[in-house]
Amino acid sequence: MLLIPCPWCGPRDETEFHYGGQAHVAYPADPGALTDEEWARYLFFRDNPEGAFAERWSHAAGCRRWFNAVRDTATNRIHAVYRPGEPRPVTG
Amino acid sequence: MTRAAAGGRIDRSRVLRFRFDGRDLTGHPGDTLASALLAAGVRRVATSVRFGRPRGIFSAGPEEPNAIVQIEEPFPEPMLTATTVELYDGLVARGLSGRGRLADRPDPARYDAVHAHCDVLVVGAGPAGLSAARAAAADGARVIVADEQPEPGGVLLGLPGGVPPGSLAPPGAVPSGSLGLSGALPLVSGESAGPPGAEWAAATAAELSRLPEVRVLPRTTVVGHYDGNHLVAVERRTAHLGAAAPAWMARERVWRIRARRVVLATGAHERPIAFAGNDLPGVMLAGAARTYANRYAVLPGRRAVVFTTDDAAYAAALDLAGAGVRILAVADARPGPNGRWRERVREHGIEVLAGGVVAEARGTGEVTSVVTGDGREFEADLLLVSGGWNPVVHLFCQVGGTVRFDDGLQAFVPDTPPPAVEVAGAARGLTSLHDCLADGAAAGTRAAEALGGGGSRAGTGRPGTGRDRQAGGGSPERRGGVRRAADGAPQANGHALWLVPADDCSTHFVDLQRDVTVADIRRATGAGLRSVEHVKRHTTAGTAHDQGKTSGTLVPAIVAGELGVHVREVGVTSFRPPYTPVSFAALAGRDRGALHDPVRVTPMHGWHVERGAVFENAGQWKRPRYYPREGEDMAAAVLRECRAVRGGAGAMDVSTLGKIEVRGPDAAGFLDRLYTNLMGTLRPGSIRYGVMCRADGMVFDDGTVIRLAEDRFLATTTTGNAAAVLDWMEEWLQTEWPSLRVYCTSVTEQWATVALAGPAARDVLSGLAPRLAADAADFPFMTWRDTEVAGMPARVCRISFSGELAYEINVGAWHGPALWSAVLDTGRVTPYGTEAMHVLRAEKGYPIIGQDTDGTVTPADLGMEWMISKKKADFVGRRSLTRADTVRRDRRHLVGLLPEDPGLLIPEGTQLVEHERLPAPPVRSLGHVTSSYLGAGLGRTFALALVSGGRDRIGDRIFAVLDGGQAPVAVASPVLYDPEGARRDG
Amino acid sequence: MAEGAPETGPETGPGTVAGAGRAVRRSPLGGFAPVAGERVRMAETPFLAQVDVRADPLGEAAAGLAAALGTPLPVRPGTYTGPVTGYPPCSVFWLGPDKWLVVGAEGGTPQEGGPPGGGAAAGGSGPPGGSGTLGGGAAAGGSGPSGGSGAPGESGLAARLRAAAGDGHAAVTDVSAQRTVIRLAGPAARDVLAHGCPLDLHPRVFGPGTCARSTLARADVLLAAGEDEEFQIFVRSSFAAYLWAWLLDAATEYLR
Ligand SMILES: [Zn+2]
Repeated sequence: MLLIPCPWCGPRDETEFHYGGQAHVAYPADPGALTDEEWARYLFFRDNPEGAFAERWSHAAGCRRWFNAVRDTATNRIHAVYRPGEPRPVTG
Repeated sequence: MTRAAAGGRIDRSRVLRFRFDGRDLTGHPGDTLASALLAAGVRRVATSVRFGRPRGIFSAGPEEPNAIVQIEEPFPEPMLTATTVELYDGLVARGLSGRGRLADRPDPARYDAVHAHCDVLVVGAGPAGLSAARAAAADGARVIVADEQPEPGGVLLGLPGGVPPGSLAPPGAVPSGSLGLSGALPLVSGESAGPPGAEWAAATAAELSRLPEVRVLPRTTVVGHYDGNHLVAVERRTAHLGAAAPAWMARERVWRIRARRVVLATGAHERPIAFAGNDLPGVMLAGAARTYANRYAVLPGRRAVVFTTDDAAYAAALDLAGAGVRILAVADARPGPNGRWRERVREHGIEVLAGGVVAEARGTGEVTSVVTGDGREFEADLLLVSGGWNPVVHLFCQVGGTVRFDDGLQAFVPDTPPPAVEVAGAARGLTSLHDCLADGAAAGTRAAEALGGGGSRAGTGRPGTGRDRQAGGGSPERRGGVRRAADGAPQANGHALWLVPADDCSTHFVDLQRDVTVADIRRATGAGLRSVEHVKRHTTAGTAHDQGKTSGTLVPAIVAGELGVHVREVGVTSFRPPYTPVSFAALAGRDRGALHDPVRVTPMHGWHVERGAVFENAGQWKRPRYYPREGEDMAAAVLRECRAVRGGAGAMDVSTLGKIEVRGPDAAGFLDRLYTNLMGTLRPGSIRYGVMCRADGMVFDDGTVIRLAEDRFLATTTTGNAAAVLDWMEEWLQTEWPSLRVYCTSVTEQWATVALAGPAARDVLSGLAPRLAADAADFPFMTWRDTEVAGMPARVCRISFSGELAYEINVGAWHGPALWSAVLDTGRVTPYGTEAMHVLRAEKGYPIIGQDTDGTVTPADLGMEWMISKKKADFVGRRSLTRADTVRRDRRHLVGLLPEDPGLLIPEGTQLVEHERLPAPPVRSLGHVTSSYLGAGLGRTFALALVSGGRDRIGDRIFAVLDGGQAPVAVASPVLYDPEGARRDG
Repeated sequence: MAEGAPETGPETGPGTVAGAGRAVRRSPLGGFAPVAGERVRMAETPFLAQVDVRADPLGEAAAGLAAALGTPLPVRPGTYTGPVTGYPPCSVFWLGPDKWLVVGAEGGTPQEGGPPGGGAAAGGSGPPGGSGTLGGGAAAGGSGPSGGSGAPGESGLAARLRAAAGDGHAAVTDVSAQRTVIRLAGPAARDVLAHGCPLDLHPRVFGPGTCARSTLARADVLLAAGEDEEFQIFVRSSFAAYLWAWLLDAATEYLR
């Protein structure tokens, strides 16, 4: 079970968190201006890398804040956590 | 009897009676079932699953592949290994053939779980583990030591010494004895320089237990090692007490341990060698035989041959000889056995066959003779086998550690460790007691230092000694992998011997439990399989209860031999939790019966229970489904309740509906972005129905929105989506629209809510709330008022989910029971449950999100185009509503269905087709029934359904596919009752 | 259902509703007998005033609240302040970076000078107390939106805090009945909690003055550590009976 470092509460069990999928997929500024294909890309397409992946988590059973984490999908190690709106940090 | 007259860590002053396979036998405290059986001379314990061959006791620990038993008394438990069952008085067991039998009655014992946190978790209380724990604890670190045995010591318990249990050596003394794993200085019985190992272990564990931050957990097997150093262990707390186990005490406890650092001191398992007849009772791992002799004072045979590839078996041979077993010969497959060991056994008159092998164990039912490679036949009842030692890397690999094949050790050893994990002692290939002690201490020190404790830890070991000796023992040139030449003869490039070649390998067993032989593996590789994972699945080797603990290295080595590659290229199969079998009862713990899942109740729950309500689960909520009166079945009760609402007044506890306060200057704009319709134009004092979509345009939830003030709304949600809607709101606010000044607060349980519905509702409410102007003109539909109801501060909302004149009365939850009673005490109101509510709303065509929708339904599919605002630039999901897929004319629409037979109740989920007679498949489905009831207002059965192009089919005759044939139904508008809405104002 | 849960629900029925401004209240665990073992003690603390406060900790509203409370809103995650004196006695629990729970003595009605700490008295199964008057605040008869921002029957604490927050962007919401409080105390209290709570409850980590939202058994809770091995467990009212039964069961080995 992951030990996830909430940026506010510190490390907590994975069971306290909700997963939110890939981070930095912004809601389009004007969805009405998008083609069906562009909208479908936003709706349905996500990356699935082996290795470092920026993803969203919510500390649902704790402070209830959303944040981003860079997790290595191969090793499950979390290299960084940061708050929404902050740029993805450079991780080794 | 084969019990030695003295010695062993058993309490001879007490006799335990037990029964095995119908025979009444005895043993002593300190025995396992296996040691007691051996002491009683029982050699055949189980029967093999495929071939029905007799099987005996092969090991002395959890790696046991053969001796699986069924416990019958005190409570049935299947598939336990006799080698790990502690003996207790009254035990009744029998041997198994591959599978056991579950109890046919509920287990009365308690099982529980506990969370634990520590700085350092040490797995294993053998020499390395205890040393590690002592070093780690020196600076006050929080340490947990978990060990599967009833007493600490691990391998030390099987060393000579014969000290009675409880004897303590001075803390800090260095134990004597040889692990017998290597060519280190041989120390056997009577040659102790220090205190016996078990004594040292007991003293060290006692010393640890006295430290306030250290917890020593005996009888606790760590079965899983997961991400973030989360480990799961199972503690067996009362099973060893048999019928005397106290009922209040959890029989087994699951420990969920979060450790900052982990030291794996899990030891090593001895491995067998494949030769003809190697499964007969009487064939035993040499180290196991040594443990039986030393720890349990049991002689597993009288006349023994030893077959070995390393030095370990020599120590076993000498200990057994000392205990009275006649050792006929040591067949040492190495061309040049360790000279010092050879001298030592020769002093005892034991012949050493250098380069010798055992070609066959012979006997019917058990070993009676052993044939060596040179053709000699020894009359023997015991054959000790040692094919080398495999570090126990299960936990290490579960959590992501990688292994490499060590040519010196001829075994897979830990390579790259996962973060914050140390491996110590025999678990990383060390073979001498001295090295294991030092290595454990070093690992414990490193673990503590990594925590930032700093400081020196003098006297806790010799840090560094072990680390420099990765997988020590033996020089590479003295050891090496075996390669089978084309002619099948072992090549003499090393001493690892996996199998003794023969033309017929059909009794060369590899996996004893699964009855997998070398011949089976050859068939697999002959069929073209090259991956050891495929060979495992093809042959089932390694898939039994023991997960191949003894066969795990043998299989890849034999596969490698067949393929002509090095075993490192074949590798090992994946190690998966659990390390040893875990009972479902332990996993369930206390989450059974009433505690299985939370039962959520409203403030009025007690009343519902008292009045005999039949409940239904709505998520975790218990909601009254109906309130049967004497002699009523469900249909009768629901019909009566519906009629009460249509004809008078009914009351329903709707406290479960989700309620969210949305407050802030941007609250209106925020809600406009989430609901499909406009909320910003709602006036304070008014209420509007709203629908929310996910970004894909599918309906997610619905409910009413109350505008309390310019900057304040109360949004209600469906019962099941209360948490999800709040999460949804928070997600958008926090991640997409952080600039919006809006706060959302759940008040679901702050309020108790009673729906009062029916033509008489206004009268009833007026009586309870004399200060409320309740006329239709003063209190119009879709508005709300704050007032007092039955003397309680209340908020009354005029909304209806039944089509009747209706109110929802909200009071503080503490007043819920009082409000409910006040409403019912008017004597004019009938309580109704969720089933009547479903019927009433369905007659009006109001969908229930989650029943009439399933995440593939748009607002338009529900006939709610009118809910989609044309004035707003955007709302979540809007763009999806113009995708090609969502504007298809043949999308499934929510429609009403009227069976031609007005008494026919069509089951929910029924498929709908165009054909009166089903044509040959494939048959196109038009859709399915989502809700189906007997309608009180309609006086007949009806249904709601999602039907392809349904709104264009209104009036059509289609068919419901039922078991007895197709039933014709008419497609209708979903609003079947009072379509004009005449009843809304009473 | 484990022992301790009542066979039937609240003793409501004819006569429990007093018409003239007083009505019987019932807490979620009313009727559950307190547990008083040597190693574990357990009781409900009913009818506390609880107010959910949302505000920017650096904003105008937070400043107003701090001034009124006489102490800043705690900003260190996992801590609480209190009881604060010089105001209706209350404690302020950190729930999130812009979210606090303010807990006072008596909830449910706007009333002055409720018994200080009275709600925290041991017991929890006392007679349902119809205390104070009803109908204050926004609960004027038959009105629509009053322009005020209180809910009918809300606690005086909520009204005061809302006033203190002033015009700054904040949400002050009465949630007195949203959760109830179970007090768990005694030398084995931490052990009981550890059966179902994933938090590290070591006294060095979770000592007096710390609090955390987490899970206990299968319920979401706010757990707060006080002096003398006493914990307050804030649990949603609908989960209270379940959690009580679970705690009682978890305490089995410590109640012997
Ligand atoms: Zn958090």
